[in-house]
Amino acid sequence: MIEITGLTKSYGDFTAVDNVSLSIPDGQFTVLLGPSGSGKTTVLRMLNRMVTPTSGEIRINGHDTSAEKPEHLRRSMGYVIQNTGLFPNMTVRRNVATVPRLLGWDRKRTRDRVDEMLEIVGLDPAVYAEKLPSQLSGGEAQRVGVARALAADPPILLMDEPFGAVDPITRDRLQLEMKRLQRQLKKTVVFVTHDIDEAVLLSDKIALLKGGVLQQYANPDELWKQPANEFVRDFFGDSFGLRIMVRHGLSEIELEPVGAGTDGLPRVPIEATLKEALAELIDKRAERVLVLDAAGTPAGTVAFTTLLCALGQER
Amino acid sequence: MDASVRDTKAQARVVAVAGSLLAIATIFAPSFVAFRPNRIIEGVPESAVSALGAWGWILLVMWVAAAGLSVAPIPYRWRGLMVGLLGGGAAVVATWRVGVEAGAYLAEKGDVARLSLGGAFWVLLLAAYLVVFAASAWTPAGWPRLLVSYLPAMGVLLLLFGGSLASLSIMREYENNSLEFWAQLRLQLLYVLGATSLGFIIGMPLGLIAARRPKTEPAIFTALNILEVLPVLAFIGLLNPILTGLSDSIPLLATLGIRGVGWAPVLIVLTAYAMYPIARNSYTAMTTLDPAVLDAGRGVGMKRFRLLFEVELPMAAPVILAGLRIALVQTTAGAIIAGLVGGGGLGTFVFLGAAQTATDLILLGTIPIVVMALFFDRSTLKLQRFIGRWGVAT
Repeated sequence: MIEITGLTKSYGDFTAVDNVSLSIPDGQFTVLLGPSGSGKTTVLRMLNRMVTPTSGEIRINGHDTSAEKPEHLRRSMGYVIQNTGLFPNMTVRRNVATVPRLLGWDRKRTRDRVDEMLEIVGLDPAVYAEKLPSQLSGGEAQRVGVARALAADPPILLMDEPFGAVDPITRDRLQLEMKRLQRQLKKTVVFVTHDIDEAVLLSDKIALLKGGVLQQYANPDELWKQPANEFVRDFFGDSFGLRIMVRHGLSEIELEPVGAGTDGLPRVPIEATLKEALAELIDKRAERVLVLDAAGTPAGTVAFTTLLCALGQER
Repeated sequence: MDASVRDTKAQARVVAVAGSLLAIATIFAPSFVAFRPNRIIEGVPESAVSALGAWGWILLVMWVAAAGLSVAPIPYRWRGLMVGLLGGGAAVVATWRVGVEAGAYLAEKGDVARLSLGGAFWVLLLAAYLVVFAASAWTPAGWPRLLVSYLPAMGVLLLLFGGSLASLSIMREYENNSLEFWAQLRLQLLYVLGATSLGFIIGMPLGLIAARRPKTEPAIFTALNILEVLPVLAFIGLLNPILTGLSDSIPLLATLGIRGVGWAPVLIVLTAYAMYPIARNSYTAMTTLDPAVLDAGRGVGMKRFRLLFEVELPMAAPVILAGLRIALVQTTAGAIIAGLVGGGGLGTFVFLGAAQTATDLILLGTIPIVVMALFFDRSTLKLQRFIGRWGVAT
């Protein structure tokens, strides 16, 4: 549990973060979202005391973080940044082993842990462990960055626009893997981005900031249905409803029975998101899709109008 | 083969042809060697064709062949091997034959006679270096390139230590000074390594401090700049009264041999000169480190010293080493000045030779300095490339 109370950071007359309060339960994927200059990175960097707050308090499991040595605090939190920040003079193995070494783990335990972490992020240790960062692609380097952050099994993972510098296809894949990883390892993740789609896809809750002030802290559905103010509504824009359709699956809605004449309909698997089903309808210019269950047999159909209403009541 | 490699190989062709043509010119140039009745008389210069007889013409054939093969449509790997061995071989043959001629001349005219190497001979060696350099770009890495690059040098060394060159004037100068030669060479090395080490020990921390505390940067580099631009003799002259005074008032210093002249002022001046490139490169290296890496290092919980020694210094090492390399080469040449102020070193031969107008004595001091400078330059470059293999700027 991370409790942020009245957090403020000023540089002279300029207030970068203004009286922000947030409560982040364990295992939650929290996205700090906002335009540039909104103070989202500063909030993140105050969590591991890379930036010292001007006032306010951050408690982790009830302990005030300002009472702890910054180095020790940081070793209990994974940290991933946009340009990976891998140490160019060290192999992938040594990079990933950084925090275990700082914590004084023995050689064997560190070695096993590095292999395990590389496998978790989808890199074969036999291929990658002895490479230097300069021999990695952008996506591979970022995976190593995540492995390094998680190596000592910290309960909290801080990520500052980690996928901002990789190409769009790699970014999509890394996002999906990140989501899977977070569910698998049950980490508390605080993730900074300015990309609305990324925030909607990954987050349990989004904290939207503007000019250092917290505008709203809620899950994407709530942000869509009950925006706290004009800024929130404008920030997410008119296509917000369409965007949050990636968060909902066909399994959430009631299917209509398979009737006659459904053979020619476009088919989608039941694991598909609403957005994917909608895309299929548009692509095939159809008004109804046939939903297939896990075994590939027709489970029911969904009409275009059903999809439209699937997200709940109008705002 | 990508375009840049192809380009390099085509350019090497120009170098090889130019080198071969230059070598051909030296064979006809009038001052290949000089026959002198004794060591201070100017003597009679002669060209290679007249001094070496038939061997002069053989050299000519070798060089013409090298020039022809350089542009012949043969695969690069064979072309490199043939041209490289021809060019390098020609240099070894020329050296061997002048050694033989010197022996014959001395046998005829007696021991005071001298056969000196002339300008054309040295240019021939330079031309051979160019050709070998070009040919090594054609040969594939591995043993063929090592063969092309080092076989000629091995040949010359073999002649040198095998005694074939013993009658040459420069080797006569060596014979007459052999004990002193090695002592002064050792002293020269001590000056170079001592001053560069001291320059590193003082210069690198100064560079780090300037990088970490930007307010100190102007003061540190103004001081180093002033030291760097002081002319060497003026610098030693300024030190003289200070060191003399210190030596007179503190007996311990006098016992250590620290006086206004001798090794002490030389070491101080060389150290001062060595500090600048090392400090400047250390400063540049530390101020241009990737901020993302430093941020990540702090962010995972590294303390300052750990970050400095495990991340910052290794990342900065290639650039710092480049500064060390400049300092080494610069000091190797600079240490000649010791010969002028009673500090010894190879400069002793240079200044003595200049006073006696004995050119070969000057060369006896100069050639080892050139070899030393080349050795330091190459070996530190290798080290720099090795350390820089992780792709940080070199």
